[in-house]
Amino acid sequence: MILTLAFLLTALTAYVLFGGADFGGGVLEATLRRHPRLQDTLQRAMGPVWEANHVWLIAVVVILFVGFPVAYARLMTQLFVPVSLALLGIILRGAFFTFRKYDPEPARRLGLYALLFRASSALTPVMFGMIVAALLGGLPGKTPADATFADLYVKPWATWFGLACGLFVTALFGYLAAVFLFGETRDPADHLVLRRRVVQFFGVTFLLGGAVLGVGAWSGRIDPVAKFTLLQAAVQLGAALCIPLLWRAMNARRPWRMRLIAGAQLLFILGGWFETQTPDFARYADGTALTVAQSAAPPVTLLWLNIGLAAVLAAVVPLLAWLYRVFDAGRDR
Amino acid sequence: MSHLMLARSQMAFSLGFHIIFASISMVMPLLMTLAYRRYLRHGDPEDLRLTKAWMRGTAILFAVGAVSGTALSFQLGLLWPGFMEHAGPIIGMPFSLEGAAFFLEAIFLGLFLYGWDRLTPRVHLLCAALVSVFGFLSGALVIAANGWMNAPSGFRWVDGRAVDIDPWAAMFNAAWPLQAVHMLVAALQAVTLAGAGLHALGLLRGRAPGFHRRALGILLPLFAASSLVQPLIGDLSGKSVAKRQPEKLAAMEAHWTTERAAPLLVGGWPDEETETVRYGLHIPYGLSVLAHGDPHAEVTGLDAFPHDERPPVLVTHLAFQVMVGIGTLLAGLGAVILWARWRKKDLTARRGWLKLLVALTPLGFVALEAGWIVTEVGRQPWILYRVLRTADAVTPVPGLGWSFALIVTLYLTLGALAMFLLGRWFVIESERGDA
Repeated sequence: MILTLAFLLTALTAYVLFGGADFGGGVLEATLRRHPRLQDTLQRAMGPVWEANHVWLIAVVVILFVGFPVAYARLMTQLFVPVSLALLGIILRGAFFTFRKYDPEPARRLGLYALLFRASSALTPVMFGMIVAALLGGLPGKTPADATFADLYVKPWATWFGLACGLFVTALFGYLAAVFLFGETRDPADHLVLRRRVVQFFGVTFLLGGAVLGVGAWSGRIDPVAKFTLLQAAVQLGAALCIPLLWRAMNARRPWRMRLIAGAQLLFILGGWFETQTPDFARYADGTALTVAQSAAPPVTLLWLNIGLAAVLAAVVPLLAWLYRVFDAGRDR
Repeated sequence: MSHLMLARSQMAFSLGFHIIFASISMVMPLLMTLAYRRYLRHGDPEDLRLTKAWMRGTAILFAVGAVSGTALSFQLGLLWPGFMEHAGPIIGMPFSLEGAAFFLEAIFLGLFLYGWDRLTPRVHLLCAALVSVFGFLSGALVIAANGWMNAPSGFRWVDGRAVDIDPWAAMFNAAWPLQAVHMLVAALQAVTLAGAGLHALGLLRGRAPGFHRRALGILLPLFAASSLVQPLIGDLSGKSVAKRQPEKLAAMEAHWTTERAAPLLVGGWPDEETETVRYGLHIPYGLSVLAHGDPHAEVTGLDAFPHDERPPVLVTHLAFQVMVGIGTLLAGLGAVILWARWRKKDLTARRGWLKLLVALTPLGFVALEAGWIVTEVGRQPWILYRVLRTADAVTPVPGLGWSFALIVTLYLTLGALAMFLLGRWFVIESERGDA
């Protein structure tokens, strides 16, 4: 079970890192309105990889419903609305990214494509953040008989804490995209613009991270003091230590080092969340929880799932690496 | 509409939409590979032009297929949590493997679409071929899950829970092999026929005859071959259903009473109230022969099942008639194509023939959808045949009308936009003329 959970978290991390940067690409693009050349660079960089990056989400969903079917069934019911809205964003983003790329006369419909691509790229991460917030004590445990639709399916996730988490995730994805895009161009003027965006998105992410902690503590959803374990301290220190390193890498124009550092930062943030979340998939408002253990499939399923996933990773990871290598902008040098 | 009907309609619409794009994403890469291989062999720039035209179509339609497929992996849980909670651990193997196949498909598609000046032609061609291979593989694996819903295996059902789970026995269920072959061949038929219809239209318009003729040269033989084997696979499928799911076969045939030497019903309008069929044509011994290969064999009728275990007869029967009718027509068309090849007659030189192809453009997809209606509606009232009822699996979340309306609007818009873009490309390519 632990191994399956590790696969689940690995797939989730890969999705947040790679798929997150793609969603961030849409958010970032909205801030590049006066830099059409950078928009092109962004589109070109995402083109070959976004579909492969997107498959990590399918991996997450499949591991969840095969390995932890109880959690899948229950969360899909309780989070029906935000999951549907996240899906809406996923569908629109993928479709309109491709439509723009393969329209014979893209200029004619550019406004529509850009609007839908950017708006849907923001909608999905906002929903992801709200879903995470709902998992941290937002969902109702027992449902009273007179509960309305809003009580059951809207109020648990549509909270101030949820909004803070949603905006935080969106800004974080935008930051990842800015760091990623830095390595896709060698033009000094572009680098100047992106440098500003990296700093701005980082600043916004940092402030929103504070908002998450603040609103979370104020609304009683997280308790930063009681929850302040050694691991949390290490994780936050790690994320903070990355900042000067990233700054130096950016000044030295070392895009791959920047990507690795931003990736490490993301790992620290996710690690902090995973640590808070363990051992539950969801913590309910009434103090009960949906634990990993009680959601798990029978051992024989988990065994074969683990074997299958190990084989899949062994096949997919080298090919993914090859895909990235083929389309690495640095290779043109 | 009732809550259950709303959930079923939303699932049906989502699946029905996805299946079109999924079929195209399996077959188009194969066509693209064949055209590209011909270009690499003979160096004719027109083959390259065809490869790129089909590649653009693949890219647009693949994206729609990929996102609507992702939506489905969520919708299974959003709409049928009571099913997925039990099904996930049992039928997870094909889903996990399908995920892997789809991963590889997306990787190789990215490499093919954008790798023109970055890969050697040989590797590039291999990438195109692998998109198709993994596309067909992932299609076959998803059908394993559907086959299991028709022929549950690999577990014992005790007190509303599955015990003694054997994921491999579930994956290799009795319905899988035939269902998978039936569907993959149907996808081949539907996509090659639709492609042939479009290129026939281009040929009729007359600006780029070489380009369109070349396309038809790849499409028509594939269409003919798949359309000629399909009736055989269909016949085997019917016999398999007769054995495994007699009430589904009875609904397909609107066969009310169990009898020996049962006649085959062609057409007709079943009335479930009076258990009669109006306007049908009965062929003596037909059903006994088709279902069991023996004119005197007994064919189980709907009367062998309690009313609350019978599938809807009208829809199942009509969908089956549509599928078989079109399948027969297409097999005839395939025979004509083969005959013309054998006699070395160029059918594409005849305007009447081209007009026929244009008229038939959507028929393969109509048959494909009808086939899925037969297998899905014909399995009702069960979501997991004779184990779990659809009504017991549906989500408790109310207000499904909203999500249904949203998904219909969304998919119709996306579908229309994708068609519009393809249409624009088609006009541009046709007006460019031959090189």
